Parts: sequence; C-alpha cells; structure tokens
Amino acid sequence: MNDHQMQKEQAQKRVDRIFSFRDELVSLEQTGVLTLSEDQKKQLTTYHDDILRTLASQFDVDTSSVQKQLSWGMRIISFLGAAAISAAVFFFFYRYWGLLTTPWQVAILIAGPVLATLGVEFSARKEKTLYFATIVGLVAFASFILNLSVLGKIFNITPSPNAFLAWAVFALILAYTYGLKILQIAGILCLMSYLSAEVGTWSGCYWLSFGERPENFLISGILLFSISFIPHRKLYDFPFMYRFFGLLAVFISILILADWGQLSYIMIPAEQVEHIYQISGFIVAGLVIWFGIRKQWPTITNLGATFFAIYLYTKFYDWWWEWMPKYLFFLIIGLVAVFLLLLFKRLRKYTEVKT
Amino acid sequence: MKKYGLIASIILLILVNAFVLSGVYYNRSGNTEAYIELTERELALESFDFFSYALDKENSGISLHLKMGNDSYDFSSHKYDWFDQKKLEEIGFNCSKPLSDPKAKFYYHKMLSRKTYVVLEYEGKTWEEKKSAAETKLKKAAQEAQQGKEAKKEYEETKDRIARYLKTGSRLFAVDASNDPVSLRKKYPDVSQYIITPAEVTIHFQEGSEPSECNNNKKTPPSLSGDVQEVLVREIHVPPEKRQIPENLLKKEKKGDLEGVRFTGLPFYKNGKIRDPYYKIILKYGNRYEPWVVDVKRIL
Repeated sequence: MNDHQMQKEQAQKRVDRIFSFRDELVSLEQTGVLTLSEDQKKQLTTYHDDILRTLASQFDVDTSSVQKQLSWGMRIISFLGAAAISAAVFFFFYRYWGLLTTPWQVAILIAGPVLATLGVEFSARKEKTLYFATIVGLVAFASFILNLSVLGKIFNITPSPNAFLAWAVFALILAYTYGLKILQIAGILCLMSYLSAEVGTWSGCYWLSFGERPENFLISGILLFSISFIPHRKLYDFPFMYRFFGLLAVFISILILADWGQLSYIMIPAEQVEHIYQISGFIVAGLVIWFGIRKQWPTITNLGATFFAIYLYTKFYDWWWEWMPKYLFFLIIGLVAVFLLLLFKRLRKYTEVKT
Repeated sequence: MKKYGLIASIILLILVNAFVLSGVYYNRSGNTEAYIELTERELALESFDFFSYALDKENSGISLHLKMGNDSYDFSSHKYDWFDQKKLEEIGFNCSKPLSDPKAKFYYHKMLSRKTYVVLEYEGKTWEEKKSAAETKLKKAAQEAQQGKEAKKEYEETKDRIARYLKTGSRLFAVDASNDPVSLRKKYPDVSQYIITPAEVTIHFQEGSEPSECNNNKKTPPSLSGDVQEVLVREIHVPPEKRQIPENLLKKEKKGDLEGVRFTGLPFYKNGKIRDPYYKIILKYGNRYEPWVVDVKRIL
C-alpha cells in the first residue's frame, strides 16, 4: 500500500471519530452532564469543520453517512466493471486471435498486461479514491492470466503450477504498491492454488489432481494464515485478508472431509476420517473463536462461530433428518440456535467485563 | 515504494514471458524428439469438451485434439494390456500391499494419478491387432447372423460399427510408459512411428472373480493395471499460417456439406455416410516433449 492510501485510512478514522464525538456531545448536553458555552461550541465546530475540509480535499474521505454508503456502492460497481472489462478483453482476444500471425499474437499478449500495469499507475495518479485504478489493476491481472494461458496454448506447453505463482506475485506486487485489496484477494487465491498444488505433489501425485484432496487446501490455508503474522508496517488491513482466506480454506476443507472421508490422504476407512474431521472442526472453530476474542478480531470470531454452527447443523442433518419428524428436527435446530445465542451472549458479557 | 512496485511488476511480466519463450525456443531447437505424420483420424477438429464447443463461435483459433485408439471403440478385453503391476511400480506407484489383503481395494482406490512419459505408437503392431480383432468379431457376428432375424440385425450394426472404426478410428496407441523418456526413446528409436509425451496415469484394482462362463470357468485372482488418463498436451494449436485446410473443413460443415466435424461422437459423416479423413498433419516433438504443427496437407 502506498503512503497516500495508508494516510487515507487514518484520515477516514479521524473523520469517524469527529462524528462520534459530535454525537456523544449532543447526548451529554441533552442529559446535562456537560454543557459547553456558545464560544466553546463555535470554536470546536470551526476546528472540526476545518479538519474535515482539509481531510476531504487531501484524501477524498467520506464526511457523511450518505457518502459512506455511496463509497460502498462505488466499490461494488468498480469490481463488477473490472470483471466485465476483463471478460471483454478475454473474449475480444479469442474472437480475433486466429486472424493474427504468431509473432503478433505473442506481442499483443505481452503488451496487454504491460500497458494495463502502466494504466494502473496513470489511474492512481489521476484519481485518489483508486476506483479506476482497481478496474485497471484487475484488467492487468486478467491480461496476465490470458497472456500465460494463451502462450501455453499457442506453443502447446505442458501445464505447470508455476503459472499460479507468477500470477500471485504479480497481483500482490500491484496490491501492495497501490493498496488495492481486490488484487490482494486475487493474489491470495492464486497463491493458495499454487501452494495446494505443491503440497499435492509431495505425495508424488500429478499436480492437477490437487483439488481431489482437500488436505492440500488445509495446509495452504494454514500457511496463508501464518503470513498474516508478518508485520505490515503500513498495510493495516492486509494481514486480515491472509487470516480470513487462510481460515476459510481450513474451515471449508474440514467441512468437506467431515462429510466425504474418502477424499482424505489418511489411509483409514472413510467413516473414521469423517469422525476425526468432525471433532477437529469443532475444536478448530472453538480455538478460532477464542483466538479472535483474545486478539480482538471480530470478523475472525464471527467466522469461527459461523463454521461452528455449520458443523453442528451438518451433524444434526446426518443424525436426524432421515428418521425424525421434520417439525421436531426444525424445533431442535431452533432450540440449539437459542442455546448458542445464550452462549454467545454470556461470552460477550464476559469480554465486556474483561474490557 | 510506488515507483519500485511499478518497475517490479513490469520486470516480472517481462521475465516470466522471457522464461516461457526461452522454453519454447529450447523445445524447438536441437534434436527432434519425434517427426510424425498423422491424419484427421488421430488429430481431429472435435471440440475438446462441452465448454469449448459452446464457445466455438467466440474462438477464432484452431486446435486439434489428439485422439488415442485406446479411447475409442475397443475390440480387445483390456485397453492397456502392457500396463501391469510391474510397470506401475516402475512409475512410482507403491504396490507393496498384497492384493489378497482385505484392505487392498481400499488402499489402491485411494491412489492418485501420477505424471510420467508414455509412448504413442502410430500404425504399428497394436493397430494391426485391433484390426484383426475387429475382423474376427465381424466373422463371428456373420456366423451368428444365420441363426435368426435379431442376430442379423445385430450383425448389420456390428458391421457398420467396425467399418467406421477401420476407416475413421485413431491408429495411435499408448504402448509403453516410463519416468525416463531417454530410455523410452532408446527402446523405440523410430521417431516417425513413436511419440514420447508426458501423460497422467492412474492405477486400477480389479477384484478377483469366482469361476464362471465369462472367464472360461477359471478363477481370476485380483490384479492391478494402469490407465493413461490423459496425454498432457492433447490440444494442439494450428498456427495461423497453416490453418487454411482445417478451416476449409469447418466451412464445409457450416455449409452443411459435412457433419460432425466438431462434435465428438459423430465424426466423419457426409450425407449420412462415412467419409474419408480430410487432412494430414506433420507434427514435431522437441526437447521438452512438446509438439508443434509443421505442416498441414489435404488428403486427396
């Protein structure tokens, strides 16, 4: 992430603090706890307004809730736009590549991502909010995928997992340079594919079979999760993505193995494998909830809680769906939800006291 | 930071492309690993899968699909007779569990595919065996046809199927495999008849069976066999300067003169009759065992 992006996040936090302060001040005045004189109020309002104006002009931060909502909309639109433009680039090339000679095909394939990368720099300079840089960045990433996959096709090259590594490194360089989170996600997904393929080859199997063993993703998920502990001096939000996607990979792998034990590397009957992963699922989810609370990572806590519930409901379905009257099945599900609610409420209270 | 990031990303793009292209150069320079002439029977314009078939209109490139005879209608009892336990062990499959062990089936079913090199033989001994097996089957069906109406109908169907197989079936067969391509080439030195190519192979466990009419009243013990799941480069791109002949074939199909050029399952049809292959391809394999099209010629 560049300095500007980092400062933008700090600026946005400052703006949010000012608005919270103003709201709290109104409440305090209404309850009579604190009343500022007209002069003090004026002075404070002028001071905050100046800060808001400066930050808005320098960093293009959201200075109202409406602006915040619009910013979210713009982020979604920029992602959809990027996906659509990337698809357009892909289909445009496929539509006409057969009409070009091989040197032209190669030249266009190489020039595409290079020009798009320069386009990211240009967009980032022109627009502080980076919406357009996100679009161009994703197009550059898609062009690089097109670049390597079509070169492989033109020259009949044997498929290799190294392509995932190249795509991951490229996406992460752009993500870290310009602070583009969507490219960080793209890089993480490619890195996960590469690591899973590499882990798969440890057992001697062909790399393209890596998807057949969910444990490959489990290991790559743990590796990604551990990347999140590398200190990010300026990139405050980036470790979260490694944590989130790493744990997501771990949870989904466990979920699959808890239901389809035959997909495991472990050479014991499928049922036993399923039992192992069912128990592991609850333990891992519990540990993640505990770790999330301890580190004050609310999203990670929620992720753990969500998968804890999913594992539990999957088990209920396996045990009771077939033979139990449906009204009773849903009643139990509902009661368990109430129980979990009470449990989390207690947990919440406990953390409140600790805080 | 920003400047360095931009430079690093562009350098990465250039380095990766240079690496890929130098690999292509290495493959195509020096020794020719195989130099072989195949026809539409072995290199078809058939769509690789449903997705590529559905996107046909959007793709202006032309690729040929390498077809192995082992995959098509088979007249022998097993597709890869040579691919036994010994060969599987050579490739790296751990076959240490005794086949009589009650857990053997479970153990071998869990094994994943491996990468190795296979030898593809063109118009060789295997093809001759297949042809003769087909002819024997036809003779047998002809004899049975005299027994009644149903048998006669069956004979006509078999005759059609065999005629199509002999005229349009791929004559390219996987005949051997090893992790050492150099030793394979020494064993099969004829570069105009044998291709050595990387492939994905799998292991199969066959359960033993009690004596019955199907196995001539003999008890069959459990066994292991291998299978060539996929040749790793089976889509071969036709460079633009050599695409005219396959393109003409596609145009004919579009006009309605021919049928089933692109669609797997109904190849080589013209007005409801089996047609002759349209083109032949000269294919080279290089140092990295990767192919490229050298020439495309019309079969007259």
